[in-house]
Order: sequence, then C-alpha cells, then structure tokens
Amino acid sequence: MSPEEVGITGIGVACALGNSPGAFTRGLQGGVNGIRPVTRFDVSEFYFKRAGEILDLDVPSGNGLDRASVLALYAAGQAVADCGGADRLFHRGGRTAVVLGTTCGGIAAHEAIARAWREASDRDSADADEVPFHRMAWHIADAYGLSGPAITVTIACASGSAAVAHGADLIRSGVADVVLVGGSDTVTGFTFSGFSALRAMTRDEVRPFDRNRTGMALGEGAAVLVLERIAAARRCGRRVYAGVAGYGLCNDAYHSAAPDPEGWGMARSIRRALAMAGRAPAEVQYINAHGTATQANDLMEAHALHKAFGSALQGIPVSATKSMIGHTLGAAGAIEMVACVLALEHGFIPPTINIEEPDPECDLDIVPNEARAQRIERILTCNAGFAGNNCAVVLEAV
Amino acid sequence: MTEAASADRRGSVIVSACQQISALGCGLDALLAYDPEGLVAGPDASLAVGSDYDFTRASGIAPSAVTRQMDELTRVTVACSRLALGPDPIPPGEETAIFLGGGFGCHASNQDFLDTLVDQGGRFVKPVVFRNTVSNAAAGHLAIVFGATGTNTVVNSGMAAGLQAMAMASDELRWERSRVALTGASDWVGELVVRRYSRQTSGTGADAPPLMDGAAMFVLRRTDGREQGWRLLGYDLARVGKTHATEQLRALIEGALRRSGVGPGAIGNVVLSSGWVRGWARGGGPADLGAIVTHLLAGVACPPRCETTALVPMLALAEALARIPAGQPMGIFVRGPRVQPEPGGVLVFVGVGTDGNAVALTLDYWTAGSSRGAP
Repeated sequence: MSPEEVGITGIGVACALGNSPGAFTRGLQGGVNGIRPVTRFDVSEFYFKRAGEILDLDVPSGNGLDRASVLALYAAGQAVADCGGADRLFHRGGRTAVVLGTTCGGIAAHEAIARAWREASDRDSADADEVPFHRMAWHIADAYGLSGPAITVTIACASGSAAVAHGADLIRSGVADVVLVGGSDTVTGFTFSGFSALRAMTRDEVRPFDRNRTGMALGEGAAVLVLERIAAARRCGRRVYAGVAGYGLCNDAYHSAAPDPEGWGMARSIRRALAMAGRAPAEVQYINAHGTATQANDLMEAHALHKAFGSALQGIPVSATKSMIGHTLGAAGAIEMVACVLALEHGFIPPTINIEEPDPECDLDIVPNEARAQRIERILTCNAGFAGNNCAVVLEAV
Repeated sequence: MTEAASADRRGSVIVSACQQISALGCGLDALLAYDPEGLVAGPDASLAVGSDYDFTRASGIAPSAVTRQMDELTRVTVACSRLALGPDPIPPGEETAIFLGGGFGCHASNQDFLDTLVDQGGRFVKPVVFRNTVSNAAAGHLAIVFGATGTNTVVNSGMAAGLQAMAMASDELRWERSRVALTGASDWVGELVVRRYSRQTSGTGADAPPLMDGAAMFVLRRTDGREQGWRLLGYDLARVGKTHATEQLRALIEGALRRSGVGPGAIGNVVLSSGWVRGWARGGGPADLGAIVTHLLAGVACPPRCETTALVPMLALAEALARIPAGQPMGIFVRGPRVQPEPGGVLVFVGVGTDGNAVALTLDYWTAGSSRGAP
C-alpha cells in the first residue's frame, strides 16, 4: 500500500470475549463461547435467554449516559491511548473527526423512559437528551475536545464497517487528519423482543455456516479504531496495524428486512472493495464473514462470496466471529474489524465455533472450532444489514 | 495530492433538482409561496406536513402490501424523492447512490414499538414495526423503488445530518463511484422528541424554528460543467462550540473555500442556518471574512440551543438555491433583517446543529454558455 493511504494506528474493544484487545485476542484464539444467560434484564417471556453480554466493565456508573455511549467512550479511550494518547489527536494542529456506526444507539435510554411513562402521569419530566443516535459520537468528540465532524452512520448491521469506510473517506478528502471510527450497540428488551418477533434467534448454540444452524444470538459491544495516513503515523514513529486498502458499499434493492437470497448486493460490495484495493480475489488470505447463523443470511453470504471470488474462493479460510460474541448489530462491523487487525498482528485466523457439520450448500472453507495459526497479509471483512445494506472492507498488513 | 484537490479534473457536481414536503406544503413551489409570518415557533409549533401531501399522488406508487408496511418517515422520504427525480431517468443499478440524513432517524417507529413492548410485553410486538426501527429503512425503500443498488448510506448526526450527507454524496460523484446521488434529509418525530423540544423551547426560553416533519431531497449529478444550475464546488465539515464559534466558523468557511479552489473575494452570499437563518450579501455588508462571520452570528445562537429536525437547514438550503438566482431575499427561517442577495459569486451555505456539527457548502450558479455567475 502507498504510505499516502489510510492505516489503523489504534484499537479499542469491549465485547463478550473481553474488554481489551488483549482479552479479545485470547478469546478469539481460544475459541471461547461468550454467549451466556442474560443478566441485565428479565428474559423470562422470550424463547431464548442468552446473549453476548459484556461482563465486568470497569466504567463509572450513574453518569446518565446511554449504555451504547458508555461502551463507545470506553473503547475510544483504549484506542486513543493505543495510538499514542490524546495529544496525538491534535498533532500539528490537525483536525480529528469521529465516525460511529450504530443500529440502536440511545434505545436503552428511550426504553427506560417508555417504561417510566407507563407509571408516571407527568410525561414532560423525562430527560431525553441521551436518546438521539448522534449522542455517542458527540460524547467522544466532546470528551477529547475534537474539532472535526462527529458523524453517526446508521445502516443497520453494516454500520460499523461503513463507519470505517466513511472515516477513511474523510482522510482521503482532506477533511480530517485523524478519525476515530467504530460502532456501539447494546442488548436491550427492545432488541430482544424485535428479533424474537422475527424468529431469528436460536435456542441452540450459534453455528454460522453449519448445516444445523438455527439462528443468531444478540451481543453487545463497542469497538473504536484510529485512522490516519500511514505516512503521517510513521513520521511520528507510530505503529500501523493495517492499511484500509479498499471498501465498497451497495444495496440489494430487494427487500426491507430480508437479504437478496442470491447475494448480488454483497457480491457487488466485495467487488468494489477489491477493485479499490487493486487486488484480485485470489490475493485475499482470510474472509471474516458476517455469519449471523440464520438460514437466510449464511446462504446469501455464501452465494455472494462464490459470485465475487469465483474459483479463487477455494482454499480461502472463512470464519464468523459472531459464533463467539453474538450479533452486536451496528457495532458488529467495527468489532470484526478489530478481530481482523488482531489476526494480522498475531498471525492467526479466528475460528467459527460450534461447528459440527459444515453446510455443503454454503461450500466454504470454514475454520471450525479452533483458531488456526497462520501468518496473513490481507483480509476481507463483510457485513450486511436490514434494508439491504452491504459493506465490504479490505485490510492489508503494511 | 488529496482526492478533493484533483476533483476538478473529473467534471463538476450539479444540483439538478430539489423538492420538499413539510408543514410549509408539498413541493418547492409551496415552500417559496409560504408566508414566513405564518411560521409558528416554540412549544406550540406545527409539526405535521401540510394537508396537500398525499403519498400516493406524490410518489406515484399505488397502495400495496409494501407501501402499507412503510412507516411515515419512509413514505415521506419516498414521496419527496419521487418529486425531486421527476420524469428524468436515473442510471440503473450501481450508478445511483443514496446519501440520506436525518436528525432523529427511526425514532417515531421506535416509539411505536416501545409502546407495545411496555404496554403488552415482548411477545406482542409486531415484526412489521420492528423492520422500521432501523434508520436506514427509508433509504432501503428508496433503493427498491428506484432500483438503486449503488452506495447507500444514512447519517443521523443531528440537525446538520442532511448537509453532511450532501457533502459525502458530492465526494461519491467526484470520485466517480456513482453518476447520480439522491441526497437530503427526512425526519418524522415521535412524542418523546416533541416533548424534548418543548422542554428546550419553553423551559429555557430558547428560540427555535418548528420541529418539522417531512423531507427535502436533492438530486446531484456528475456533469461536464455545461449544464445550467447550481454547481456544488466543495465543502468542509467540522464542529463549532459556543465559546469559539466565530473563529471556528471562519476556519470552516475558509476550509470550504480552499477545498473549492476559490478565494474569499469570490463570495457573493453567505447563509448561516443555526436554527434560525442569517444572511450576508456582498452588496451591502462588510467584505472581510471575519466581519462576515461576526455579522452572521449577531442574533442567532451558534450552536443552536434547541434541536429541531435535520429538515430545517435543508429547507433553508432549498430556499436559498431557489431565491438567490432570482434576486429574491430568503424569508422562511430568517430572524432579523432580510438580505437582498448578490446576483453573482459563490454562495457559502453553512449549517450548524446543536451538537456542534457544522457543514459549509460552496456553490455557484452556472449558466450554459455564459461565464460564472447568476443569469
């Protein structure tokens, strides 16, 4: 990659596998199952009762922030420290921006108000300041006194990876010198009941691309990555984890909630990402799949990968980390981006756990149950969301 | 060289159409015919779109199972987009991008869903309502209705979201990722946002435009520069705080001018939408950029203290683009003196939201066969 391209110089993460990049790495390498019984709210009325909750998060309580903002700030704190500290955000008077993705940011605050309204006659007393989607990006920008824009991307479950793409665009366009990108979402009664109504959840383990997969589990989490030009980072002696070589966004234009079963939208986004990176499909060495473990998604995704890669797909390992952390919605793309960065950094391919019998209809080289030690140079990660949104990103070692 | 700096070699981005549906009426003509004296602000502000809005008529889409599943945010976005696109064909598939902004996104459908969840329990919520509790539902329906399989993204960054979306869309075209971009903002607010706005406007005495439902959609096209209309030259994005608003706004405008390749001397008009609108035109005001900003900030809070929808600045932009070439002063959201616009030069349109997000767009009016400037 050219040093003028955009690279990742800091990472932060909190999810069911751990609340730091180190803990997350150990969880990914160990194939740990982070899907556990829900503890934070009553799930007795639902047919599934487990999710990828975050445990033991060391943050102040009672600050009035929506949980998605709390998680985003936590991950941002790690990422900023990792890139060299807050001073790095203002290096040579440069402008730092924030681009965060979310599907349901602020919904925990909204749900709390809705429940309070049920009991209260005075509906005017609710403080709804934490409800709007843009609060989490604002909190980060405000916490660090950033002068760049604070953009909130909301394209459902592709939001986190789209935030990385749009953040890289801000650097390419010259709007910002440094961009904090990522995503955050939480598990709430809102999301539990919604996905329950869609019958998308599993009572079983989460088994992406397995013949006997029965659905997804929700998760919560946040990830933030620091983007800046590779050359600028190197001039300051900073480590560059990976380059953001290419990305592509496309829409299925098919259905408001179901993916195009043929996977054309995701295939197009992958082709765009590879074209921007200037790479042939065969040059990709690992694919981090969206892999929700629903019948519809996994089959769609397999079709998309076969369309985009053709015969080059043979032998490229594929894994779905949602089997370990659950589906974190708008945070998923960002958390999976961090997983890819760690895979590049530490030379391993995360597993898809709970695999018993790979689905022959998907016909993918799934990395089953145990991480694979392998030095890799180039990764494709992809996400899909409600309303037909798809985003694919190519990361490269630099 | 940044990609922005090399953009000029790849042709221009033109605003080929815009339309709106709001409490001011249905269509751009209704916006321009609206008597600004009738604009009610504050806690009693009118929210709903006008009675002349009919989804089926405006969208040209017959009622069906699909349209019945759309929430009001999606319906008004689709209808307004159809008005904006008109009969002109758009490139099929990946050549058309969608960049949609919104202040509150799917908040109204979230409220509907939560009402059922809280009152009746999680087993009684409806899947069809849950589908609309993603903020990109409207953009997804736009993709389906218009067959637009290109880049499709939604930003919910508060009041400046529509302007951010337009700026991002302009890069999409300059970088030749798409040929046409449908962009703008739409909002449909629920009870909680209404009560929040009422608290902000009545509790603190702060003054703000109405919390308006509706949509304002713009069509951007890549052009060879010979097509008449407003060319979007460039933009800059930043945040503005109340303690350094003057310096930060000035830096924002300077950034937009620099990125557009024009100097301050080329400015004909500056419009600031910070809740209410303030204007400056070269004909009658100070010429120094610092003095221009000081003039603009007199009489408006920047950032605004009350959060209305992302629709409001987009309506102000639509009004500016329609009135300035005709030499008519803006009036809809104007507080303070109405400014007679300068007939030529670059228009700098600045929008600022309560969260400090600020966008400066630079545009000039291009007439086929003539030099730069208004007709």
